[in-house]
Amino acid sequence: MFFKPFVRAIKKRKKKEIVHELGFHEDDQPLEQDLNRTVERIKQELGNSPDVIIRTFRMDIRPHQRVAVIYMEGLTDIEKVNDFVAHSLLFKQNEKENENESSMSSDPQRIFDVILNRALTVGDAKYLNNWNVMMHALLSGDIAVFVDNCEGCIIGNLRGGERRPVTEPETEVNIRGPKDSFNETIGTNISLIRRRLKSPNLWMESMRIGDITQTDVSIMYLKGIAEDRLVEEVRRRLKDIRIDAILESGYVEDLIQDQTFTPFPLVYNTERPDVVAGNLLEGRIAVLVDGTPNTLILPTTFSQFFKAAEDYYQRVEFTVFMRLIRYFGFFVVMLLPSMYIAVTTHHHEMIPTPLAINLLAQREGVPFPVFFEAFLMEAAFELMREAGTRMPRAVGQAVSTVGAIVLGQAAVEAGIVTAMMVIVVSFTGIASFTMPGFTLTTSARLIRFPMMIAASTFGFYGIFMCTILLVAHLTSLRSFGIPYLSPFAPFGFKHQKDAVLRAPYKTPATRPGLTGGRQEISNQKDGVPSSDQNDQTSEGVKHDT
Amino acid sequence: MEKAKISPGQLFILILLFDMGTAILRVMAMSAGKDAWLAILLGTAGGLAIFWIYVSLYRLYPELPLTGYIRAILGKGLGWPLGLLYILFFIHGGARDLREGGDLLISSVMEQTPIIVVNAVMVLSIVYVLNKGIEVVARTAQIFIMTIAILGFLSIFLLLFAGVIDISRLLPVMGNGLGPVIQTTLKQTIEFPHEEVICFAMLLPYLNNREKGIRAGFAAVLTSGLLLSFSTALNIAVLGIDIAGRSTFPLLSTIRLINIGEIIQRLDVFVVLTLIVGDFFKVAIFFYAAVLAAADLFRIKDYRQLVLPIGIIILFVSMMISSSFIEQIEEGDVLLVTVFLWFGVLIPIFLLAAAGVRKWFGSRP
Repeated sequence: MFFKPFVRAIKKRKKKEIVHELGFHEDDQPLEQDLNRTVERIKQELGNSPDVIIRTFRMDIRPHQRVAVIYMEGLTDIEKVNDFVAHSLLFKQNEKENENESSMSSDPQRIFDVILNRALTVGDAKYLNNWNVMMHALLSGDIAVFVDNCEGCIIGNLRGGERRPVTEPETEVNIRGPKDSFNETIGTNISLIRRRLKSPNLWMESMRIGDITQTDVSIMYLKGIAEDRLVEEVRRRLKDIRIDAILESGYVEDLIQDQTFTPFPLVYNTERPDVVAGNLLEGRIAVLVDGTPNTLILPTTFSQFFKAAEDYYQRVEFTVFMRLIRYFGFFVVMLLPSMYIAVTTHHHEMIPTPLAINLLAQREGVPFPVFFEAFLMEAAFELMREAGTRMPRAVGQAVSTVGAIVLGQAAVEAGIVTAMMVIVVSFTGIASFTMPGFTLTTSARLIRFPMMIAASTFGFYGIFMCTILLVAHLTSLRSFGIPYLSPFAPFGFKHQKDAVLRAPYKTPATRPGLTGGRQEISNQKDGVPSSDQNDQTSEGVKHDT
Repeated sequence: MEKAKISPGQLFILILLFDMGTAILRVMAMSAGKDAWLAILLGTAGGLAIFWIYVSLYRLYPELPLTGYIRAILGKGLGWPLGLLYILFFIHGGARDLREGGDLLISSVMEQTPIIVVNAVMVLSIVYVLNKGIEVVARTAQIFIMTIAILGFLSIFLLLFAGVIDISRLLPVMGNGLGPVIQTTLKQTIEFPHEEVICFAMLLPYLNNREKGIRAGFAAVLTSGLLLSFSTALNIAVLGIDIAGRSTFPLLSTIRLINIGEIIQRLDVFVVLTLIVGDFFKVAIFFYAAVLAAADLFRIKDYRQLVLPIGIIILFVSMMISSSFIEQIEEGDVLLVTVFLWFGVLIPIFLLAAAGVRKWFGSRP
């Protein structure tokens, strides 16, 4: 393709730009033994930031032994820290058994064992002797406990601080089904998925991406259902990422997608845990990124963007109807304005006579050609939509009032545009809100403009040629090796059961052709496969009796 | 050669679109009068025989495209120039269909657009798609065959409900005896569109399943013959032999007659879509065959380098080929029994015979 050298050049530049001075190095540098030097070094590396809390004190059991607790304010749960310090470290002499005291005074290193094994009130604590890993843990919100003249430190997981609670999803709304959504904390998001898939086969791998941000990124898949080759490919692409910062899953999406220049999204993202669970059961892989509720799902196909979570909870007839409506909506967004332009500028003979007369009467006073009129209105609509997204909530009323009155009524009354054009544009606008996968709507909205140009120059010929090119482009796309337009092209008869249609759960279902050998699927799509569950419970009953 | 593979189903769809591409738009075999549909049916039998020739050659050299086995059979000295002629044949075929599609478009829906612009848009689009490879062409065809099938069924039902079909216009069957039918069959319907399937001799090595692919090919030739016969019969039954015979674009005239309660009417878009899609794939296959042949003969590793140059040649040839649509049609009838007959039937028969002789001598000690 024409873009390839360009892309390569960008990639090269990116690689050069990354200077590792800023980042953390993954070398095995041990910790200092001397407590004062440790504290000084931490202070110096973090630039004496006031949010580093360093508490040094002497332990009761061994008065000459100095201990330091270091953590970041705001990243840790203060109550838990106080609890931990009070109960674990400052415990009273008389609570201790004497035998321990004697052994401890003989060996300073043993104090670690005491803290680790007996005293620590933290669930997740581990011993560590690596400076960089310690620093990363500290900056992630863990607390570090240092003992003077001892090797290493103890890292306790007391992460906390302010975080958004699990709320209702704001972008993917539905009527029936669970109402929880992801938030910005990866741990919470993982637990939301695990709660839905109580299977030991739900495997997860974590890595840190971003030289400066050190963002936690996790791959999640169902072992045995997701194809190993696919997991390996995702892992490889994530490992290849060299970038300073990952602030949102969009960064990851951009860096691992198959093709950079295409108007179509090659990776699906969702903020609904039930959607992730459903997709994992189909053999797909989820990539969770810390700091964002938007979780990536791959590989992605075109038809996925037309499936709402609710489709699997509602009645089949209704689901199929709604999906047809959504596909219709997609074509309306892409084609309706251009169709209107084509018919009114090139193919008058295709309009029924009464309608043609009506249209002509409307167009009489309008000073612009149809294309310009349409372009004007579509641009105005896009402006309003963008304003509606970005504006402060308080002025929302003003914008919508002005938009509706000025762009609708007043424009028609002033004779700038025809009423028919307003109808076409608003219908297009409404249709663009029908799709559950919002990212695909943006593609349709973008493509609409070239379509309009093609329609105004070549009429239906232009529209159809554009459509052929678009379909050709779509068929050439792949997402992690899976053809984007499957199961339509290449056509898979078996896989039509969950493409436009949705077969009832009673019919034997198959997974959507992503998995290798195991095509059979038990009858329930979302939730734990029923047959497994039944087997387990029946076995359990047998054991009891 | 690309590494791509096409499935038997995709071959079926490509041949079907290719055969019907431009043929379905016109009423063929008008010299047989009301029995045109019969002549087309008989012609299909001939088409199957022609396809059998290609398949036999393919079975002998399953790894090689047409230009490859020409050289293998006739030797380099004779085979290479013949291959070169085939490139010209493919370019010419593509240019003719491009011109025909452009002319029909202009005469039906875009009276004021210069034909070179229409053709240039078509060629550039095909260049884009061919650059992406045969797999993309095949998958795109899969999407559009569904669209056209739906529109076709819809049109037939609407024609039925509109009450414009009058079977009596087709009667009497063989009113003038068998003579004109046989004559038309031999002169026209065997040759068109079945000779042009020679393009697929360049594509058959891409098949991922040989035996199923061959069966799919025969099925496609048969299906397209039946559909063409049906559409011709439908056109005559709706328009009557006089109008159907004189019209340049009878399918459009037929569809325009649909008017159900002043609500469902003016379905010209259906025909325009069929015209554009059919023409697109027909030109694309000719074009692709020419590109593959050239890449094979001149040993060019990446055929993509040739797509744009050959596309420009096809565009200009399509402009120079004739001065008007009438001339184009007149030429077509002559070319059908000369150039197309030679390249589509006689040379392949000769090749098959030569290969047979070669094998016979080769197998003897």
